[in-house]
Amino acid sequence: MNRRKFIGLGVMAVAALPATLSALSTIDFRATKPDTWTAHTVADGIKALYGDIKPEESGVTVKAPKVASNGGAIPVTVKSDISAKSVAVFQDANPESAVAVFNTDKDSIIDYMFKIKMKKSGTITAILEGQDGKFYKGAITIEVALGGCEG
Amino acid sequence: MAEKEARKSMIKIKPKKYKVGDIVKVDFIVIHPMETGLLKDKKTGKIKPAHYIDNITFSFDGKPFTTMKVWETVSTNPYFSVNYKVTGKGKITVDYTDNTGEKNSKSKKLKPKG
Repeated sequence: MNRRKFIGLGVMAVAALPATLSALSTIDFRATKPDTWTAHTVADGIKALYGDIKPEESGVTVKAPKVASNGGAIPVTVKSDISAKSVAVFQDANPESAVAVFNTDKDSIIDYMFKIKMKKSGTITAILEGQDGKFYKGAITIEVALGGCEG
Repeated sequence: MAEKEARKSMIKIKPKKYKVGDIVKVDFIVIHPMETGLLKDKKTGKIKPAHYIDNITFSFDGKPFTTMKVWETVSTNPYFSVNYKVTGKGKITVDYTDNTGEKNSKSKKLKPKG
């Protein structure tokens, strides 16, 4: 890439910036989808939140340590390049499966990091609802050395 | 437990120096017990009531850019990191409520250079 092209790209990027900050749709899942909160398995949780879906097994990256020494605080990173409506995270080790649901808009950057607690080894699943109406899925199985729910 | 006092929380912007158009990490940490409602208190033998943060909103100058619903699986003293593209000077505010109805907010000024 030559210098002139490079500068041109920069100008375009700056020009595109201020136009896009649309209002974020805030859906209260706690009120509209109460079953999600009490679901005990991942499949039930997904069903309660999104209905019967067949997510593509790609597009979403879930990162976590393979062996977590402390189940009380496992850092989990969810990343994706797909523009999303919402991102939901589930796990199957605890009595209740839902972890968090993120509401995003098309300009949001899907790169979240947060810490969760897990009772025992299990799988963390992330479901992404794209702006195109498709669903994408990412998962990681981790081992927990010391359970995090014993206080 | 002193439940009524204002919670300690912190917002960090990483990296420290940023310009308009940069993508910055907004880190948010709050001191909160995040009780699941399943554990017994070791001293009294009674089950501790559930007490956890359930709603977090990240906004810039009043416009939310990420909202999240959170369940009790999130760890004690939760830490969240969200990415945000800087669009100008303003204030990043994080509002959070927990299941007992406690409402708090924390904000930090965003000062892009150049």
